[in-house]
Amino acid sequence: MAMRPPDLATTRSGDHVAYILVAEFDIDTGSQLTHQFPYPTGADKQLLAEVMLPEGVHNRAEDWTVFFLNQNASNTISSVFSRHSIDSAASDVTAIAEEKPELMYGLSLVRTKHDAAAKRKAHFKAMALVTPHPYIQVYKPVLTLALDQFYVDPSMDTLSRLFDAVNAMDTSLMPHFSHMEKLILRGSDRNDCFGEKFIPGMQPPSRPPNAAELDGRSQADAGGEDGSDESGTRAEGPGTLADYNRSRATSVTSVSETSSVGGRKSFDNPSAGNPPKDWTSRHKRPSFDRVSSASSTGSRAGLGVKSSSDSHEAKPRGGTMGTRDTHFFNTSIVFKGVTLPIRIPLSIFRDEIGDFSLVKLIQAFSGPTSGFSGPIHPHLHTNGSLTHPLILLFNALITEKNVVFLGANHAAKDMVDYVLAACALGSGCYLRGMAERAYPYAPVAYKDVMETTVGYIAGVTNPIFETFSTWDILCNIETGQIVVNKNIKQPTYSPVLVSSTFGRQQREGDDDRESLNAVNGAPSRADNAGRPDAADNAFMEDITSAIQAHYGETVIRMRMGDFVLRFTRLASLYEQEAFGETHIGQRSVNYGHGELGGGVGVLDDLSRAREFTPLCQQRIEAWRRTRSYQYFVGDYRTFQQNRNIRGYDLVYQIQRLRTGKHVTDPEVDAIMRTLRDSTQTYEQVTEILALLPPYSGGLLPITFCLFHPQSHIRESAIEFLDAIQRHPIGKLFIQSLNLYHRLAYKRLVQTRNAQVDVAKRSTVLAATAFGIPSAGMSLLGSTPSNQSQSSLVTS
Amino acid sequence: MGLTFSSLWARLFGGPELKILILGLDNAGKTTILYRVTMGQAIETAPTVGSNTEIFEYKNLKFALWDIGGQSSIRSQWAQYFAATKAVILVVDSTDSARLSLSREELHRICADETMRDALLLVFANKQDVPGAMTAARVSDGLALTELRDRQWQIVPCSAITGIGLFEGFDWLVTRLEKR
Repeated sequence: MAMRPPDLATTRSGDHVAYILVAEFDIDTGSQLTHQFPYPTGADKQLLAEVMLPEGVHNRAEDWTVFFLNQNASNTISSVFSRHSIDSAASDVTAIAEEKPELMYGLSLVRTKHDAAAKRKAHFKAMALVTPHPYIQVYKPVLTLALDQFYVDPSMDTLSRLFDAVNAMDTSLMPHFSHMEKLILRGSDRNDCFGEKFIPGMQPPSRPPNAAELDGRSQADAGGEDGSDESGTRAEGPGTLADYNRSRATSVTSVSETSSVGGRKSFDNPSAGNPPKDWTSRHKRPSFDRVSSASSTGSRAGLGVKSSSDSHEAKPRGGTMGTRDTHFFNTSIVFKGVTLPIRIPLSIFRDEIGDFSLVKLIQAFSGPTSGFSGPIHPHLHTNGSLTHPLILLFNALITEKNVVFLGANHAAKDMVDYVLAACALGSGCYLRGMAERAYPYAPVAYKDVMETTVGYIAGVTNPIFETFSTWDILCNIETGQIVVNKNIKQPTYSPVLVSSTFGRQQREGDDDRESLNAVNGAPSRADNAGRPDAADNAFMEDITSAIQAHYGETVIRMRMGDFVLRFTRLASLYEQEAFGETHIGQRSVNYGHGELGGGVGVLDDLSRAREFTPLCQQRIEAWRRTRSYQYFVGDYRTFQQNRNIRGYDLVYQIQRLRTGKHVTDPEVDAIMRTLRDSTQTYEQVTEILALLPPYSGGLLPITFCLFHPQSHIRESAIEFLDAIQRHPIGKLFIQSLNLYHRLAYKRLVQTRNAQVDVAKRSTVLAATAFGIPSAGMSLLGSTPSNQSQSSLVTS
Repeated sequence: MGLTFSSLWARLFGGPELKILILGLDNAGKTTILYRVTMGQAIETAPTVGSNTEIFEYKNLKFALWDIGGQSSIRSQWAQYFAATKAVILVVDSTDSARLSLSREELHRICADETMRDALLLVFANKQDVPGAMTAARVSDGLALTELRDRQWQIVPCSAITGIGLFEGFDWLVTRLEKR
């Protein structure tokens, strides 16, 4: 990235929003970009105007579109003042390749105003804002207000106010989660995961600790004060407070409620529903004091200055307004006197932009009329004619085919939804490289620009796109049909095909005619028929039944993530078998000789026939030639360098515990011991918990070992649970355990403590027998004071 | 407007409709003609951003009518729509004599395109209901229609608001298209 020259300190730049654009449909000249604030982006103005004023808007009152900048040559930001662009003076080809600027996201609102006095009776104006953050949906309300205001006052002043308002949004207290923490957060339904990271900066001016310091403090305190947290509430006495805190909301929640007291301004906002919180927060003051006693002067003084902070013209306070749900960070934007509550999602991953619905995409292509037509292609039809349309779509995304979503006469925002969902489909939470190829809404004017992107993913509403021949698959969202282009290019390479039990058979390049024929669209009848029990099909059935059972969007996204993870692990196996080594995974071996297994283990013939067929391998080989693969190699290398659990393949071990077949006792023992030993640090614990989301059983794979016949395995399980309890998130996981498992844990702990006490007692008796005083030890100290007991009692 | 036909469109799309483009400068009356013909009434229209598409059955022929915006930024995209077009309906605002030469330029650009070699040309001299509108002969001169080589064309004076002349034009199209 170019460094900002020092004399641009006065240039306005935004952390949240970098640009505001306005476009208008001129009745003589068509779509025109009329304003760029604070300065021109340098991107092609006509294309920006075309995407901001989507086709068909004359049939609607309003519409939304999304576009990206820094995606290709025509929409790269190249303003001299911008820190989001490459410094053009310093660029040469290699520098550009390395310094590729970050993708920026644009959200545009267009509204029609009918005006009987106007020459053509209607005005179309659109306003867009460009932001480096993917949670663009939070800006929808403020954009709506601003565009209305712009119709009234079409001046730079309106734009300037909007720019200032959005960039004044306070996110200083927003907690940043690691990848693992995000996985945990996303997988959980609870409102209070990681609540400890939200302990606020409701501090008096004299001593403002920063969020990081509080975070670290709270982590350290979480261990020591665990007992006091629970006991603190018990000591409270007054019924309301103790009762309230005994329910799911921990005392951490109460802390955050109280801090909202200071931000008085927020209570003026009717939509935040604050008055009840006001009452409870006042009552919770004492517990706030207790928990944040570590933050010294914090509580009382903070509340003491409440009145004085009222009198300030307070910036909208971040952190704690409105309903408390740790999946979101609450803040606000104040525009023209209206305070808009903003909820920033905290558990989003790369290539997840905006508020799309993956469920809707899946339903569109899983309905009764869905299907595909057109020539068979080995990358797309990995299960021949039984390939599920959604898998076909996934295959197209993962192998960089050109994909078009068509919704004739639909609003642009519908197509945006499908394209952004497709990006999430192709990436799970693991892969990158989808969003940068996406054109969520593409007007006809985009046709040539799109074609400069390899593997574009475009959403269109104009049926004329069907006649353009550059797409590989066209997905009609109304009929659920996917059309494969009759001229689709068949692959010219063949993968290194592997057969299961008879060793490796290398088939390279053009030498082998047979393999070429097999690859170039003359598949055998067996391939065409497909297998009904293919793993991909089983996955689709699983997902569609999950949707019918009304599982939420996040669970569906996570399951998609599991699917993508499995795909990458199979790709790693492919590399290992074809090339001897792999850069994207651990070696796939079974457990043996005391050594833990890894990768996907050794696949038996049935597994191979279901998920590792030659066509599947072909898909993997095609993926290896894409940018998304390149990114993954780099990401995996970084992950290996930074991971906290080393030396074995954690994913494999959990899978063995959860769904493994023929898992012998020695293997279980080895796995449990290793897991138990991998709970030293908080980061390690999060890595493990991230792989145990509630929708696939939570801690069950591990707590089943509490019932294992062998005592040392049970012991490992208990020690594991003890270890994760040291952290608030671990406690939440244990609280969410199945009742029987929790009771089993409690019973085993009691038994163990009883044994320890017996041992202690006998030591004491032995000591007294010899006349040695047993310092500090009471007989029959049978009330176990360890933390696990108390956490089992609550809830 | 188009929404009522969208499901029909989806079902029939890809079928054997005859593709017809309705082109012309902005404010010529293309959208009004489109809906006058397909819906039978003159409706209030707004400037077309992009295009309007409707399926229209007339005299046992199925037409896919594409009404494409006429503002200058959209005119530059007209060529994207040319493939497989059976006929072009050029709509001219008969009251706009100042821009008649511009219409002529656009018309000759369309006719010069290789993909449009076999397309029929129907010219609607629209807004005849307005006093002082140019006659069809005047419009024909202004467009230099006689200079077009190898092109079957017809000019019809019409008024989209009253409906006069519209089906006369379509009848001509039908007879020519049936012959093919």
